[in-house]
Amino acid sequence: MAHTLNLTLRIWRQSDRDARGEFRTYDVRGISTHMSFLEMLDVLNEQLIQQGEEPVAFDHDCREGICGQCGMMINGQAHGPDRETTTCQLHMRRFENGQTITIEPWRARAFPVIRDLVVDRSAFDRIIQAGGYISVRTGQAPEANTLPVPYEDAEKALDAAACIGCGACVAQCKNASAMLFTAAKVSHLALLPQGQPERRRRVVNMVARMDSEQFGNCTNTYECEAACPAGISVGTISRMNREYLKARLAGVEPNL
Amino acid sequence: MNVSLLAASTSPAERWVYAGMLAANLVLVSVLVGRLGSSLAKKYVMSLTGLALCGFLVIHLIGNAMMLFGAETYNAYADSLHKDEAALKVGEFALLFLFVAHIWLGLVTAGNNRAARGRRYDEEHVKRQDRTAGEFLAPDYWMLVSGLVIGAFLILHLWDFTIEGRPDIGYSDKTPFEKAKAILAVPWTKIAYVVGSVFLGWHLGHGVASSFQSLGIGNARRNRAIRWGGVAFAWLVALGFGIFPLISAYL
Amino acid sequence: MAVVAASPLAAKVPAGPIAEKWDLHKNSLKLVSPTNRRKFDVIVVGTGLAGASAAASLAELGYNVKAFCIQDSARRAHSIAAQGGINAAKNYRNDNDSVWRLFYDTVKGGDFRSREANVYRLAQLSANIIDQCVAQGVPFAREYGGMLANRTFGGVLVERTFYARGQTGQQLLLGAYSALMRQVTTGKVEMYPRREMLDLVVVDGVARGIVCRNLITGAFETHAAHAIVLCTGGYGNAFYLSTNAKACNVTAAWRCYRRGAFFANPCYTQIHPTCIPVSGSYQSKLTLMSESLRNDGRVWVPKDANDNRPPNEIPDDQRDYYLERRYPTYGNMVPRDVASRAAKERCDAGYGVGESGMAVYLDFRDAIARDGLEVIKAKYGNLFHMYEKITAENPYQVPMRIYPAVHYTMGGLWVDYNLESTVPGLFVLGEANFSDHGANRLGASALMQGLADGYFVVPYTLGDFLARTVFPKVTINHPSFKETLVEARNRVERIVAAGGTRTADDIHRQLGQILWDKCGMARNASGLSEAIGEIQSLREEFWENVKVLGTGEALNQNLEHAGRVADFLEFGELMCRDALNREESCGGHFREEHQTPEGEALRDDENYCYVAAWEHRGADEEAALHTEPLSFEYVPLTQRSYK
Repeated sequence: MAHTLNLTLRIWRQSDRDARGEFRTYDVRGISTHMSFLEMLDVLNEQLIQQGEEPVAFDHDCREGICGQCGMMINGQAHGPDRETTTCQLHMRRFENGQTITIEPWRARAFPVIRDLVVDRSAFDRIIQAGGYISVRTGQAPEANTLPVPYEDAEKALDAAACIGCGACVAQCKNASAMLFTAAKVSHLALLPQGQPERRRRVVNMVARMDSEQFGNCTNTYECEAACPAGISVGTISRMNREYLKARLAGVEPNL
Repeated sequence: MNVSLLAASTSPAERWVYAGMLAANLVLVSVLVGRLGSSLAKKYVMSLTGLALCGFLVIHLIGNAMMLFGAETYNAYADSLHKDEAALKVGEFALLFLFVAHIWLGLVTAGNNRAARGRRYDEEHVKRQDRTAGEFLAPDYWMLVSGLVIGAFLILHLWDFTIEGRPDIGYSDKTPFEKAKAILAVPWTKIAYVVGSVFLGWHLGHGVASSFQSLGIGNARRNRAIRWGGVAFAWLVALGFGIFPLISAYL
Repeated sequence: MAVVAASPLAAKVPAGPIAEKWDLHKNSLKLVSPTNRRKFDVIVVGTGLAGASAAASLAELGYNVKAFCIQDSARRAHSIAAQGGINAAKNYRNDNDSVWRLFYDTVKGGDFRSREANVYRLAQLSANIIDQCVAQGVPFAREYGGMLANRTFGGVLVERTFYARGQTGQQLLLGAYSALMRQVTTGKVEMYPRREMLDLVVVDGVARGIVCRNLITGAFETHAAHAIVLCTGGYGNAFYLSTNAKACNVTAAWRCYRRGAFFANPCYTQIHPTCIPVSGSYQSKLTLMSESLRNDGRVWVPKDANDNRPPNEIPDDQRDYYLERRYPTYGNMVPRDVASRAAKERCDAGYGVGESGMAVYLDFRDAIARDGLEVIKAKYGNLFHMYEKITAENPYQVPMRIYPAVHYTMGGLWVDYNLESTVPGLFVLGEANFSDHGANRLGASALMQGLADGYFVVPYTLGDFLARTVFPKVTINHPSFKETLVEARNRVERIVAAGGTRTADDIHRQLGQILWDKCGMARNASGLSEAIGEIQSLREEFWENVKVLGTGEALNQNLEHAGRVADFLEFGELMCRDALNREESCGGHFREEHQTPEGEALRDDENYCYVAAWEHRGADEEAALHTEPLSFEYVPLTQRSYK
């Protein structure tokens, strides 16, 4: 059954990319435990508008955990305390009456804050542009069942392909590393027969782009996996380490 | 390091040789790190040097274990190391290279990683629920600290045994066995050596399994053998080294 | 009564037997030579399945593409949320499926209000889509032998749906997105994320550019091109509560309508039967539970309206499996419109369950007993997980509670067979157009249509347009661009300046309630007339009383939303007018005045077998109705029956 919460929110406010930013504290009352976290922020924003203060900007779209647009640090944890849950799928029943909740944007040099809780994740797009695809033109495809894909490989590929690109891995990693994101795409395509021709170039170029975007290094703390709403395994990182080593030993150089 | 115990005392010339080795390694490593193009290449070197150092630790521990068989065995073992001085120096140079490369890369990546975050979080908590050591003792969060402590211990250890620079130990009239006993008999040294061993165990508790992950060998998080094997190795080594300061008086 | 234009619309459907129409038509389309393609600029708005596939395919051909999306990355368009699957007439199951049957099912499922030729083409292209996606690395479900797996979906008697767990849309979109990103790397596509299209620039009657707002800086931008491809999705968010993403809106399509593109069948909205019920007034959106769940779940309510026992304590003989009772052949797998209305009927009659009484049970007890927990987990694990996250109830133990919710809009900008709107040079793809689903869309067909349009139709028909059009040189310095820019900017400034007391969200909720009550699952003439009046006065209130803080010169999500609400307030009225005009029940459009004695939808093929395409005639004028008569030469007009 629903009951209601009164909460104190400490939220990072920053008017634009270059502004200094600061925490501001707000009270919200009568929050139903059935609400999602973002609905709670909606309530706050309606309240702020009525009080004449600009609402808190935050990214969100599908609100069903698949688009990857939402994401914030909630009490120091990416997407809050639940496992395999995006911020939009986090519900207020996870919080206690009277609790103070600290809300911060993803923080990484590669993800500059645009406003309040909104960050620029275009670095992820650029990593994909470096090789996160199979080069096939529309019309070139052979009949779909021409290449059988073993059931286990297809399942493993899908496990990796489930990445929603939200950036929680970077946000949660103490080094702001993008290894899980990059490794998920590398693994997805390396596991499928269709991905073989570009397998080596892909991993070398994607890693080079990842490095140039100034993400941190992976130190294998596996916090990314714990924060990942899509449940991507750090096994993908191990796979990428292997793929990259093999590719470099084979003499493949990055070419961006 | 128990590699140069034979000499009654380390000569000033030998100390200059070590200083030269260090300088040469610093230059070598700085060139090497500059040539490591990608973050993954750094990881590989970090892992390989770490694993090689683990191999050295095992040999070192076997050497230490000679103490259990009495002074004669131990002294004979120490002498045997000095049979071929030139080979020993080459080995020492290689060993120093592993340390310098490992520490240098650790410092460089730690700096990069700090910079990659930018502004720090006001509040930060782990999300892994299986951290047996708890949030504040997780070894992976303290690799730089534990590494620096081990580094400091290493300097002390080299000073004690290799450089032979301790004024409170009369090096000239001691066999290697007596030298070890004398050093470990000093109470604060005893504590320092135990602490050093504990930090070593803590460091390796993450480092060993992590190396396998970095080299793409298995999935260190899922593969129990790698995960627990790494932890078991770490604490066996720590126990092995840590026990000597405690029992040295009885040997 | 609506103003009806005299001449019917020309759909440019090619002559010939239906199975050959597309091939014959392709042969007649003009080509642009490879060396000339680089001289043409094409704007693609939206990067969902239709937009991403079109932008990538056009860039591969050599056109210069500018792709715009409202999200922070092209990968996040709402196609990503499609769960269940994509249809294709591959006949991999040897269950006698064919292009013909997919065509037939889709026409029938659409309640005979779609264009036969378009649907046939869609069915023909369906197989190529699967080929293309597999080649891109889309990890479809496989059988142990490595071949592609299939499952069944509502409204059909074959297994032709391809899927990737409950995240088919995501995987297909990531495939199209990766093709798009590849073209960004080749330099043929310039990406413009976080841009909202606010107007269409028409020069001498031809679409030549767009005005958009950079959502980060608030700056207005104009972009010129030789053709515009609009792939901006549907208008389900007019209802406020829907399964659409929060950013989904009608603005781009509506602005095109105001510039001369006809809007077709706006009253056709699909109410999806299996969504998580509304839990409170704060609710911001509704979440769909894939239709595939009806493969194994049984829908029921208690036979006794006052039965308040927990569902598991109600014995079988006191449960009313009303879909199985009413539709023995299709049972729980009836099409969406039928299932939704049946749920509404039970709830309105007082048999609804849950706190609000506006829900029915979807029960997996029997399926778990039959197949075992592991099998059900493998099939639906992620959906069950999602349900539990939202409701805190475990659907393995307690039946799910579900209720219909707005999900998809079959109406959209009118397009001819080439997917070109009534504004030359403006092509409309995917959910944004009206063309293929008639009055009701079958499950797993939206992904198919978006990709067919983007990969395989528009690359040919757009080339034809470019080849046979003489383009006067037009840059963004042309007076039309400046005028349109000023109009778009004024509109935004007017919203900021309103300085009222009600938030845009509050007004949007009210609009949604009006539409849901009076233009939702069931409609009648008096309700629709009332709704039109209410929407008009709400619109007036909006412009006087909306409260938007901050400026237009920065990231201002509140302002973005207000602009979209302003357009929904205009669009909502047209939706009701269309529903009022259509004096029949068909598919998702159910007029209470027109039903069979058993409560099924009753079409009027005599008078309404047409596409209603509305023309904007000025801000204060009522829209004019144009009709495109529909003829059914291959699938004979019959009363749909799923009994």
